[in-house]
Amino acid sequence: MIPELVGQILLLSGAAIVGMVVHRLLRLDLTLACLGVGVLLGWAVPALGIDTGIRAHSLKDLVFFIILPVLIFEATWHLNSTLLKRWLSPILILATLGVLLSCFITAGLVYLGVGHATGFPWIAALLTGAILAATDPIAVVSQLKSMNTPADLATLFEGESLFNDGAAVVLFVIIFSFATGAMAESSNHLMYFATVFLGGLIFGVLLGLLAAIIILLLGKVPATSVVLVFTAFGGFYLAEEALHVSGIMTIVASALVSRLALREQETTFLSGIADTWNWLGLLFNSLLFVLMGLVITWSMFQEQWLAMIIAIGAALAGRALAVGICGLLTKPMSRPISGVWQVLLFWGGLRGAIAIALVLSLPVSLPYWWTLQAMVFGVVIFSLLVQGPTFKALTRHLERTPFKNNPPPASE
Amino acid sequence: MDTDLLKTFSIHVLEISVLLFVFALGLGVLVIAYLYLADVTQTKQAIRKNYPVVGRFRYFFEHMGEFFRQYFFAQDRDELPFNRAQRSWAYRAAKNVDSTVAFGSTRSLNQPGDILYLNGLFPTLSEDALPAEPVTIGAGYAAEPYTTASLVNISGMSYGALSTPAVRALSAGAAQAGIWMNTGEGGLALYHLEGGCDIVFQIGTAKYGVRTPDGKLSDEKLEEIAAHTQVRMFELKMSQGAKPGKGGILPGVKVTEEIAKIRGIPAGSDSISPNGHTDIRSIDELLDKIFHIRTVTGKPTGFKSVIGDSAWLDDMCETIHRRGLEYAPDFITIDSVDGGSGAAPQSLIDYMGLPIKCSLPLVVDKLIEYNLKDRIKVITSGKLINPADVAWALSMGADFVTSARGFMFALGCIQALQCNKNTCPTDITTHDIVLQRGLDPTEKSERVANFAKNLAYEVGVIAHSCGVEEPRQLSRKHAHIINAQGIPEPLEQVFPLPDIRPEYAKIPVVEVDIAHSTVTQEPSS
Repeated sequence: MIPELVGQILLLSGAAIVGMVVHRLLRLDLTLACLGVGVLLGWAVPALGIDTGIRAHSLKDLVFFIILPVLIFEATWHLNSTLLKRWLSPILILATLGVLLSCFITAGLVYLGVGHATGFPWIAALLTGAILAATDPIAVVSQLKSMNTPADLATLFEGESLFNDGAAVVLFVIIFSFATGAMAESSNHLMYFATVFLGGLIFGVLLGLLAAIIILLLGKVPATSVVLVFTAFGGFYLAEEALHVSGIMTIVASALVSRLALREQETTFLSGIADTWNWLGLLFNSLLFVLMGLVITWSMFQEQWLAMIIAIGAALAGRALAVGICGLLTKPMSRPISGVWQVLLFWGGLRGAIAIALVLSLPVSLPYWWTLQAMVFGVVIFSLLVQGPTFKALTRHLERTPFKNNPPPASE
Repeated sequence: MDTDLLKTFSIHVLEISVLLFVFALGLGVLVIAYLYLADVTQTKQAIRKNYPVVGRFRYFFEHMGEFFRQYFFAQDRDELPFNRAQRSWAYRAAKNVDSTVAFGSTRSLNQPGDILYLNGLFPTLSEDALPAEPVTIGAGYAAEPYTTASLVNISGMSYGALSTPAVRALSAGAAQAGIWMNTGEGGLALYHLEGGCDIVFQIGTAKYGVRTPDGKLSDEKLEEIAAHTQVRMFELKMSQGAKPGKGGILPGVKVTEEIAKIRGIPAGSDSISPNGHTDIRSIDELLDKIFHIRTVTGKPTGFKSVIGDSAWLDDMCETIHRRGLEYAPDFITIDSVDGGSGAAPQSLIDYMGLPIKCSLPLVVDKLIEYNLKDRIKVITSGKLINPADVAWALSMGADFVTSARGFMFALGCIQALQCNKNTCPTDITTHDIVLQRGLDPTEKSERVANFAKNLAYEVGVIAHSCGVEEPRQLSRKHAHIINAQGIPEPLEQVFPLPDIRPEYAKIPVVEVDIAHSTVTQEPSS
């Protein structure tokens, strides 16, 4: 049992490392490289006649209990960066209203586009919308940084993705609890909601505080990493398995509380934690794309190409409208988002790790699981293959318009 | 059945309360454990390291103490900048409620420098009392001299430093009370004009409102401003009480779109005026500028300054005599060291400049010495918010008094000392829309008017007790000042009136052209 599990993890990690090598040698995007390696692995392994033991239903647990906690803990941990302060209000609007708008518009369009109320009900459309509301612009941000565009734009991108990951995940969990019927089973919706979410929050606060106490007590840089990583994994596991409260809420709360409680130790005990999150983030991001490559099959494109196209259109429209409306709302503020920046935010809003993680964490027992996964994969692949590579050219093009190099003029 | 339900319900409630209690207790223990460890490991604050957890209370109390002291512990007479006795007089005057006190004075009446007025054996009877004498500024030299009987007027506070509702309330209140309002250096906003009061336009070092794009004085804009009949005078601000030697400071949080537009600066960034006029570097240039502004606008023009070094006063008076009285400022506004609602560096707000206690007699005496007292009117400001203070200024020779903070108290200021932060709890100096809901311009304009009227009325009461008919007849012989030994001494003796220098004694005093000035005053009434 244990050797098998270790073997699986090592295989995937090895693939991720190969992906990194490919990324380095071919100058391909890391995400694309890992995806490619995953596809190759998925094709080669059965061909060689080896059974890796990796199945779709076992993937769910792997992603849910191992990858998701760390990704969310890491995203939340970086939230209170001082860089964000300048753009806090537009970012918050994008991450709250923007996520809701994007989710519901995408869901509506997907639902109408598929037009199959029994096979693909509202709840499935809403799940799709929530999953696709999280943006993951790592590739775009690194492009922006290399291109000598205003630093504010990169900050806006990064800040938005940090906040909207959390918002989208929470939205996903709410809709998911309806989808699996957990909410409906309970006689009292409100009570259920309160127990799961507030329970998660309270548990997270306690856990965060406890983690801070232990870190302060140990007072060693390496120990800090051990405790925090353990908090991310352990908190999620305990919340979901033992307490039956929302693991994601637990992680969000504990990351926020421990970060806040340890703010005075930034230069002492926390000095090494950035590295820990960096390597974990790199590994798990690569892992996710390898997994996605493994899961993708040719038949998915053959059977679901129409659904994929619908989802791509819907996701683009949802994102465009959400950014546009939020941009309009920021107009009277001290830092409005200019028209050009809105276009960049729209096109640069790639879907990545969080979307993959969320869709992979869906149980295969859901009847619309296959379609949903195909749709999300379609959107992710589209944003990797089309949006990402063309983003640079788009920015260059828009840069030549009068908005060069300075933050948006106040009158814009 | 019912009792059963009640029973289970109460058991539920009990269980939940117990759970909550245990949870709160546990959380409390965790928090204390965390605080202890955080305090012990941090290296920034020694008190927290040596006295973990309890040491934190020091910082909390330090912060809260300010509020507690004001409400619970401060005596009537021991707060600064304004003590409770001064403030409550202003509040009561503004609300037009009974402002009498009983059972004697809470003042110690023996502090050196305090003023005691000398009542006459035969006070002026009510039927003999006269209203304050009108004074004309710029008579014979400005095309439109300004005549007013007002005693206490609203000192310069810019739109920007003040909120929109505050400016509107002041404008309407000033119109009601018949006093003028100084715009401060932030330019002229529609809100200033709205109430219909007389306006003194202040030209700050950044020349907001009358500047060319490159920061010079724009004659066109001056004419534009002067075209408003409500604008009666122009005041060049050389320095202000809060920060002599530094220009106006409006913190970025208070620079809204609207304010930025009026001033012609970017919104959200600090508005910092130069610390002096770049085009006025000598007495001659100052007089030239004043003459120029008066010629362009046709309205009386003077300047405002804090008196520190005073050698330039002789220089100025001599220059005026050499070049002609038309070059004299029509008025000088003397600001005190202890001034100002504005944001200012502490070392300047606390230590720079002379208080009016000494600068007012200094300037008045110089003007008398050079026989310019009739030509140049003296306006003074600096914490003169109570009748006795105003009466002192008049006795010393001031023609007018202005006050900023007195009128802020009338608007409801509670001396929270937040003027520089956009967090004013009484809406007077905040542009935060949420906080601004509290200040109703109509209601507060009444208070502004009441304050001005009651202040003038009670100055009159002092004058009548001294046996003169109206406030402007008060002079140095009507008061004593307490000396270092705690004994009252005649004010005349401490500040003797100087003699006019013989070489300037023959300067013809210009006849005040009342007829002309009353005609020009009509448009505003």
